[in-house]
Amino acid sequence: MVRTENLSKRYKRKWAIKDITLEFKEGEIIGIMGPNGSGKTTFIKSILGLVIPTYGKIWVNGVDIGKSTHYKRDIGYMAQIPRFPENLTPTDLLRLVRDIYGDGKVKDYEYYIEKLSLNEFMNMPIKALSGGTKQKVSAFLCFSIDAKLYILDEPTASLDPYTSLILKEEILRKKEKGATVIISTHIIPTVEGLVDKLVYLLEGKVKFFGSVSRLKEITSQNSLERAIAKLNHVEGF
Amino acid sequence: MLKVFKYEFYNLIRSPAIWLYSLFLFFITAGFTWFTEDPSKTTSAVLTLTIFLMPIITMTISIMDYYNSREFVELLLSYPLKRGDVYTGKFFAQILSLVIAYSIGYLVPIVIKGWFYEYTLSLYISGIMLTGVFVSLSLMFGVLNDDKVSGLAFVVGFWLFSTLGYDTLVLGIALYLRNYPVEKIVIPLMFLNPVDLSRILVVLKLDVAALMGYTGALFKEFLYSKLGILMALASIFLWIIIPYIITLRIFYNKDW
Repeated sequence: MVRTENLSKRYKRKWAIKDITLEFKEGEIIGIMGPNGSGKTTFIKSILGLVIPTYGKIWVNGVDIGKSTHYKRDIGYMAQIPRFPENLTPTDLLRLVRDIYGDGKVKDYEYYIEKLSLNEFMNMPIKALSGGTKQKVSAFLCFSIDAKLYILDEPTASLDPYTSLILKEEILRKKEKGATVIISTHIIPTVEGLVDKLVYLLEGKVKFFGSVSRLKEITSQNSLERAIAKLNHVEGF
Repeated sequence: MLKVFKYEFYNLIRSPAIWLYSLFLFFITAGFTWFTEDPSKTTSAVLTLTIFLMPIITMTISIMDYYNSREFVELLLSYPLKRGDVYTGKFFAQILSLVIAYSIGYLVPIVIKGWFYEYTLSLYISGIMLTGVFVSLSLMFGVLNDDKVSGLAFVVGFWLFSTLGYDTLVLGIALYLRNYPVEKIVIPLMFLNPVDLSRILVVLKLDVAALMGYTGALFKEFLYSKLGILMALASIFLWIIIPYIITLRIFYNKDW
């Protein structure tokens, strides 16, 4: 579904990510983890075409993404800080998404309005909504798109535990439908019991890529938290 | 492009800043039309204020809207849209909403008074063209500077230079070369500054142009010849198109 080859990005003098070669299969949930500034957002934004790689290649669905923007029709993206135009309403934003993707691609929106209890907010301007509600709107727009790949950047950062749980369930539902989901986060409970595979980035390089059970095995730790803490200090995996 | 334009426009036209700007123009124009019965004097007073304040207001609205919508631009770019369409949509949405605000603020008092003269019309058209110039420039400053403060510094710097600094410079040159036929240098210099150019285009339609004496007559003769009008329009359009193209190029290669 997603393949990167030597993906690298340099900002001024510093490499944000360096030589990342990875492959994610269909129907997998991937967690991208790592400390602040480890390159998680740069990696995700490269796949979305928001960041232009210094060198290296990316294929989504077998298509080289440097060639056209068409591959984005199969991607749903939930940004880290949802800041929508203040005077638009969630209904306006839904219309925008439907205008861009076409009605056939945006079908499940009523289900998500209900699920995320957004009903009463649909016709309120964005500036009147709380941070958590804005993030719910962001999730709602992302999931309403019938995509093959979902990319979520810190999806649970300002959500209450109850909504986080709903979000996790919905991510699993997308997986059942055969979609690939990439979640970038540094909050361990977000990925616990959810992800199939974990990418651990440290200073722009892949420190670990594999299943959670394998991570626990090689670090000989039982909890994900401790296993990840150990990754930061141990050389050579 | 139209999809982005539509929603960017919806957002801007509902923003209080746009309507405050419109209200401000309305009070200036209405105030002057109220106090004098001479349309020519009113126009020159409104001209002075509009040409001086309009750049800073439109550029501030435009650049702040750009900075506030960076995350939204990022979201739009994650959708199957071309980068150029996202930028062009925003560009026209800003121009249209500012032109609407300007039209209402300026035209309503003029229409109420029934002052349909060549100079009221030429002030209106100059204002529209200047709006295009300022939006194009301030978006360029915004896209060039990720830091809000330096973006605004460019806006303020350009404003002071085009409304005050440039005139001082031209005046200095004219004084220095006062023993030569000055208009041969001053006319080309005027074409380089969109603010001066539109000011002169309006002033020459007013009676006050007579006060400018021999040089004023020369200006009028040249600027209102076919060649003069064409050159003036070309100069203003270049001020819109060149920053637009530069911004588009940066926008295409920018990391979000």
